Amino acid sequence: MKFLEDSTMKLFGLALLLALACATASAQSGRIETSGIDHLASRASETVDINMDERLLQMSARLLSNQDQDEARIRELISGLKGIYVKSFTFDNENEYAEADVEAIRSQLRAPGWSRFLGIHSRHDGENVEVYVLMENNQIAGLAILDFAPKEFTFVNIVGPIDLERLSRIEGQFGVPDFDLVRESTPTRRNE
Amino acid sequence: MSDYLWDKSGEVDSEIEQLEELLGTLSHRPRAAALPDSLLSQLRPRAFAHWSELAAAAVLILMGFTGLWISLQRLDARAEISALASQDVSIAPVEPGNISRTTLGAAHEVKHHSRSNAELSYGRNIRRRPPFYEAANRNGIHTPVQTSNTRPVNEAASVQPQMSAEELAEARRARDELILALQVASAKLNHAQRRAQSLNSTNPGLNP
Repeated sequence: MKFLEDSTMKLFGLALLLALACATASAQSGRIETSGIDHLASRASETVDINMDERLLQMSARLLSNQDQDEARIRELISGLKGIYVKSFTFDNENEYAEADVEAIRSQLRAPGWSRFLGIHSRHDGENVEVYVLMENNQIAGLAILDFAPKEFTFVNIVGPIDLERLSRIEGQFGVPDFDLVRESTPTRRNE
Repeated sequence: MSDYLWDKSGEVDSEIEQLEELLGTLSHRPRAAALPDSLLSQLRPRAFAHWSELAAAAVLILMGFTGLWISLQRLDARAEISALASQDVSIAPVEPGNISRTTLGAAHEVKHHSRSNAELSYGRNIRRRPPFYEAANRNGIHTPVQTSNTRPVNEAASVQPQMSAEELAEARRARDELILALQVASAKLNHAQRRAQSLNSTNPGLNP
């Protein structure tokens, strides 16, 4: 009986180590595991869930023209990328997600290589924006943006070398007007 | 001496009879000459041998007819679209999921026919409302739809003729998702930068 208990404990420990190793390896590759926040979709009134791996990126790049300036820019931007993952949840009510959901993402961003590039916390409207970059050989090898407000939870993960300057110029291009990100309760700067 | 040994007449010699019994198993038993199995199988009549050849021929003929039928269908569809293209009409979508519609003007439309992979193009200045508008609005991303602000996209120039209809549809979906994902990423990055800048301008001594 004791042997059985010992074996179970050893197996459990091994599984835990394996899971930790997988999570660390995943974080080091730039991919952040987001399955821990998938359950929020059932509570959200609106959900955006985009999972684009390398194959899909290459496939979509085939339809981007070299002649069109904006499409060519996007083509350049995504060349070398290994994946783009977006999860965005909008809720009708506040407190639909827990601190543990934020921590499920944030804990992976504490892995070696990742560093917080920007972190803003507003006490006025409760919005938090955190931007993380994964550095490899003094180059950006991954990007993660965590934005959570009382009624919204968004996480963006770009895997691979990404030019932040070029990425920031994408908004408002490609025939789409700028995203209206100003929330109803615009915070006063004094209180931030 | 008994003649039993020579012609089995006379008195039975028990010793000889015993020897006969012992060696009898080795005596000659006449039987027909047997051919090896491998040779026999070749010589056996092959009643169903031609069935496989016939079946293969039938499959080939069927494949040929299917190919011909598909080609004719595509030709028909292309002819149908060409005929419609010459008229000033609006083409209604047949399969909403597989057709991308591109508005040129009030009564002109360009469409991709999923069955034939045919695509109409009225020139370079095509106005197209990207499907990710709908996806963005459906998913709650605030993208005010203003078709007058949309920039023309020359889809016909970027269509890959070597892709099958399914691949093309998947690639289009992937492209729309890619653009939406990049839009969200870009918007969030800019939002973070704007907030950091506004914070810095309010409190110059602070660093986020």
